[in-house]
Amino acid sequence: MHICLKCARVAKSVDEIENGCPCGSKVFVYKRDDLDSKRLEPIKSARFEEQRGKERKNDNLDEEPGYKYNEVWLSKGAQVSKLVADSNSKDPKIENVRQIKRGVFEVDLLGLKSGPLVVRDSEGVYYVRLPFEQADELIDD
Amino acid sequence: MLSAIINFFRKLIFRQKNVKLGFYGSTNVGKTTLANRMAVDLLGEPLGNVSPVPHETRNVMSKEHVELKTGGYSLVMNILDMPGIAVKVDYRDFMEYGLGKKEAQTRAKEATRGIVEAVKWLENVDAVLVVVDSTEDPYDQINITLLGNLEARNIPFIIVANKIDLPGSNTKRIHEVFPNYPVVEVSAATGQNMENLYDELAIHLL
Repeated sequence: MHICLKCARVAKSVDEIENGCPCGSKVFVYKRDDLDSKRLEPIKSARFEEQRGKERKNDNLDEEPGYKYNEVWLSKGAQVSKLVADSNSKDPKIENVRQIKRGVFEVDLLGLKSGPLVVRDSEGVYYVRLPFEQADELIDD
Repeated sequence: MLSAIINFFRKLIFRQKNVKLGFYGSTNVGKTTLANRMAVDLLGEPLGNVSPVPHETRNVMSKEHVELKTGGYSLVMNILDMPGIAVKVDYRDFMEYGLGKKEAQTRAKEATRGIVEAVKWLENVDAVLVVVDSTEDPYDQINITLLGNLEARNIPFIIVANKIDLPGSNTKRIHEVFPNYPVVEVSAATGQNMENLYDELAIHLL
């Protein structure tokens, strides 16, 4: 099934995938229905064990406040964690790259395409990377 | 000689021109004060609020159909006062001005959203006034990247050295840092030299 990356709505038809989600997003993540979910867990666990060694802390992603995680396999075997936003949230985030937990990030692709990179640190300070090209003659080497 | 002839015909054909004029710069350089001064001078009413607390302007404030008449020609502008651009917005800075934590955090979020909006507006402005504080060193990341971007996009601009009424104002430094760009020295607060700015606008935008 094709799932909207922004609002997690499952696309109802090919037309919707072509024209975009009603929320405005045009990015869908594909999840194959025939994958055995139990088969995924051992693979994920092995990968985390390999990458993080004995320093694993909380792997229970469902405990992350306000979010649910589904893993989706892309072509070529790439593994992506898809973030489902809290539907009750009335406070839209302005940062377009967020670290959900160690090694897991949420990226607003549409926001990055149309505006500057905005991140927020753990203390609530915003950092903006201006998407400007600097003219060489303005910079003294 | 040829450029003068071209300019003559250009002015003849385009006797009236509508220009979206953006006011860009760092925080607290006087963008809104300048926009208010122009709006009051040319239209009779101000545009936005000013405050010593940074990021007072957090949304794009606009005034349409502001007409500048000079030398028989008319320049009609949409004045667009942009939120101040910064690369870091720390809510704790606002708390130093007496804001509570919650209010400061809200302001920080709105300010950051305003920066994003200002950046996006670069796609739509016809010309820009880059406002700098003449009491501060103008060679900073914001101004350099802003001017570089304007050049790359071929957006005409004028550097406005503001706050010349304040002690510590050093406009010579601004001319030295930006020798190849038009610089106009004004005081938006007192109205000093605003006529020079209007003349430069007519020269560059008509």
